[in-house]
Amino acid sequence: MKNKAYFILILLFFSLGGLVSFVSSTNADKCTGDNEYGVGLTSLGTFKLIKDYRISLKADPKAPPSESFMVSLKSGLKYRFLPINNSENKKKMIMSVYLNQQKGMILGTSYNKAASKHYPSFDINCKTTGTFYIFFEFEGGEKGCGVGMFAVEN
Amino acid sequence: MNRKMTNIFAALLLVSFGLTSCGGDSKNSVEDQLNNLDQSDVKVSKDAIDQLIQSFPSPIETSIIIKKAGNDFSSELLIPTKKLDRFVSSYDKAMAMGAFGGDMGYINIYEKSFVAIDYLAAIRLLSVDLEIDRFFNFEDMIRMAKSSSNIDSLQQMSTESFNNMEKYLREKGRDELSVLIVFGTWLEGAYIVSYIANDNLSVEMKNRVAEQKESVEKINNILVSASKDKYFANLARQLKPLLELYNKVKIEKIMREPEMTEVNGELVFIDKSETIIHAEGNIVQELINETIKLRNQLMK
Repeated sequence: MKNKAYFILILLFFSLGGLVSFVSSTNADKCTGDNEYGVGLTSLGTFKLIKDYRISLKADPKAPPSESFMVSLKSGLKYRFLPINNSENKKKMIMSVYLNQQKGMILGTSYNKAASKHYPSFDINCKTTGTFYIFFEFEGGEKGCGVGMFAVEN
Repeated sequence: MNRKMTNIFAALLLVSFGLTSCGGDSKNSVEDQLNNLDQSDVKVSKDAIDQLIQSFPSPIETSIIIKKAGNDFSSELLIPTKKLDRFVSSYDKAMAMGAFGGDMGYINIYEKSFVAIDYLAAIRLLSVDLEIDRFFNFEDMIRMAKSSSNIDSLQQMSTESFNNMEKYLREKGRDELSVLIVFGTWLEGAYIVSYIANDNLSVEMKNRVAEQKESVEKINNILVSASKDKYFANLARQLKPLLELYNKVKIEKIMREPEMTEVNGELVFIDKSETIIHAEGNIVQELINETIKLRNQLMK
């Protein structure tokens, strides 16, 4: 009787684990970023693509999920940053550029927090050559996925 | 029994949470690691090296700067595409591939698609030897180069191919090739800037030469961290004279909050920061000479 109960408990645990894993893998399959990448390319206009970032952030009970990348900007150039959301995102992706990894000073962002307004892209007229940080996060610390694009004006 | 079962369930839950939370952001210390890269006793994570590799400026940016400064296209400064057998080892080939990629950026920005065909052919041969040719659709790219109306598509396809290849190499743990491709691309870009500045030493071009300081320091840090390999140790040794010259250049940055404005519905941030470059005496000319020398040593 005891053994049977343990067996059922363990079976239940692994079944739940399997279900969770299946659900997350199905979502991951839906979010390769390829569709978002295609949408982004059509929005570049006269800007030339430099790099794309495939973003997939999972909910984290401890801290709002975010991902950052080092990026080099050159003075005298105009850069465009485009966050492209997956259609299933509950909240929109925010793309921001900061002075350093501690978010010391913001150099540009796709989200105006004061006005609660998201922009489809933002440009930076760069005057300082250096290495900065691109951050990706979702409004309200939500999970989600999408593609970030970084381009330069020709 | 109930208590025992509860304990087991709690243990399983703990294991479960442990498994799901191990994908946390490991990048928190990347900046610290990068800042300490010059200390030989600091172990640098793969993540830190990945970040460094990704942070190098693209050849497109360097070429746009040169074009904006009013410089004409010059095919003389490009790497010769003949006698590719001078690049013997896979390391030589990776570095050459990066350099040819740098030239492609320059060719594309000046829309000289007729020159691109030879460069695509060279990249094709090197990529076959390195077994990374699947990232390039050479048939389509050569077709686009032959038709000058498709130059935008060629530019985009070149960027995508190099980005995908670089991503693949990093994911597969072939960082050494990735580093050398980045090094080759950077060196070719620095050479193009130096070559042009040698003929036209305007304030703009002087500053462009001097601002390579950060890239030289970064590439040196990567080479030093990989210097257990003789090839990388040798490259670090060859780079040292240039690094020592750049040590004499001081770059002062005054960071200020940007101004945010909307122009025709587009959100624009205007950088209000300032960069002051201190390069006394003949130092910029020495930097130009040393950069040209290094590139010709490694690529010609």
